[in-house]
Amino acid sequence: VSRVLVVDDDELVRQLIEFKLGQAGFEVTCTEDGEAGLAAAVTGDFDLVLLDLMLPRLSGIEVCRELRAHPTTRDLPVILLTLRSQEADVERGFAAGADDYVVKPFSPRELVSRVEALAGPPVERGRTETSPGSAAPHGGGTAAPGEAVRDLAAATARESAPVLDAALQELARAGADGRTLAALTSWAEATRSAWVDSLARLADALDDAVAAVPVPERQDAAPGR
Amino acid sequence: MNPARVNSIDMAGELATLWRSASAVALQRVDCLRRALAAAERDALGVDLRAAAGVDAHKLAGALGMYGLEEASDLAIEADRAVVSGALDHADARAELAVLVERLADAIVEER
Repeated sequence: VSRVLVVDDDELVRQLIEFKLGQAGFEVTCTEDGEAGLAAAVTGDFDLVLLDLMLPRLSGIEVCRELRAHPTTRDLPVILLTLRSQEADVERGFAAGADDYVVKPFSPRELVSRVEALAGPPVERGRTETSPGSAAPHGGGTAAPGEAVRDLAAATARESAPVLDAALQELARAGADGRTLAALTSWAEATRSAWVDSLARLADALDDAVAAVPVPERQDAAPGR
Repeated sequence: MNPARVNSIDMAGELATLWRSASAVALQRVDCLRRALAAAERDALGVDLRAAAGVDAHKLAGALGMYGLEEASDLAIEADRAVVSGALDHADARAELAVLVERLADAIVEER
């Protein structure tokens, strides 16, 4: 699996990148400041670094420069994360050895594409594509039966969110206190999560069952047996 | 949460859960901006709160758009620019920033 190191001091950015790259099949490690990011990059085995420009302790530019100076990270691809207002700093980033940059707020899909362009597609996903009976990956050609169940799981998760929000708003208007609302939210999300997990397991079981069915061509190829 | 928006950013269950916790952090950052504005209004804005407001405005500008919140993202970028250009130190600009911050809070709450 391709491994990506994320160095960003904003937890909202880190958690979304971790989620999206994880979903795309990458293994993601996150650090919050320049020093920790540099240490992780040098000691870890990463295929790419996503590096915020404005970091505590050591700036993204300084981290990039250090990475290029270090023998184990000299060729490690680096993508800078920057705000539009900092685009002037990108030139300094390239001078320090960055390979690419993405302007925040960026579309997570765009980020995944940029990461794949430099780190290559995650190996895990390639394995899934060739695995018999497994679901087709996003954009894949053949749809396994499990895929329909996965779609149902996604739709269930998606559609239940606004219903839950409306119910919570109604309860809040009726005078429910914060603790009650928090408890109800936890309960609803746990229920939804359990339901989605069950559907995911069902999808896997369906795919396995289909994979276990003998392929007709094989029987045709050996007449008389 | 607006169902159309949910579909437009493909916010499935996990991402919706992610946004729920993220929105609480985003609102804390908005509160920091409010506190800085209130302190500046009293001519009592200290170095730490000023720095925190700058950092939080900057983070909001960078993060909200990634969650698909276009309006909130635009407002946050505008607020970040205002803070950087010294809006906290000038009464007129401060009043405009205060309006921006409240619109930003509304936009975040609307998407929760």
